[in-house]
Amino acid sequence: MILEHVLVLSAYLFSIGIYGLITSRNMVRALMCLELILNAVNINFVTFSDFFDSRQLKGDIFSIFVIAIAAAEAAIGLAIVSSPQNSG
Amino acid sequence: MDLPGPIHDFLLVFLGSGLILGSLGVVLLTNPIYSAFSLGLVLVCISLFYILSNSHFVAATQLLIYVGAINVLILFAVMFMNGSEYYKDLNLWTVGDGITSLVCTSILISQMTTILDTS
Repeated sequence: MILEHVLVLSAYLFSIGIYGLITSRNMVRALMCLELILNAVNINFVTFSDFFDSRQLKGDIFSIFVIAIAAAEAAIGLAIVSSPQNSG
Repeated sequence: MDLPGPIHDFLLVFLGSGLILGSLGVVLLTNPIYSAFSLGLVLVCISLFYILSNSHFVAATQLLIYVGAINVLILFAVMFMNGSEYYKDLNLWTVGDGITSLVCTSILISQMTTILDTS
């Protein structure tokens, strides 16, 4: 596995996520594209941890934080989307 | 993971193509339920990719939390919203869509040149 290929894949996911986040008319689709962006960042962290940090795994630990924060904001975002004020 | 070289590369190409097609499906499919299932495919492919990168704990966490909790929550929200008015959303390619696609392509190209320059 070559490092640049994985980073290019993560950059592609990031830019597709940004495009979908800006141009989506549906609020739930925007939250799905936000999850794409956060997963692209996680791929970067885990790949760097695999290539350069096999002893301390700092990238892996930070990606756990990112997963937890993404879960929290997805829950809150979906609660806001499906609230009675927003035509839910 | 300690796999022989060609199997490792074949799995990487397989998962990469799944990621590319799945992310296009999230953005471009009109039915939001299809889009949510495509997001589930992307998340499962990322989890298998983490297994290939010797990060087994993060792979299990990704599968449990992202696919098992966040994707299910997104499906709940999609089915809870009144789905009848979202099917009729025509594929009108507006000016804003074009400008955003140009901006995102330029972001991607600048990131790719930075990645390939930094060795």
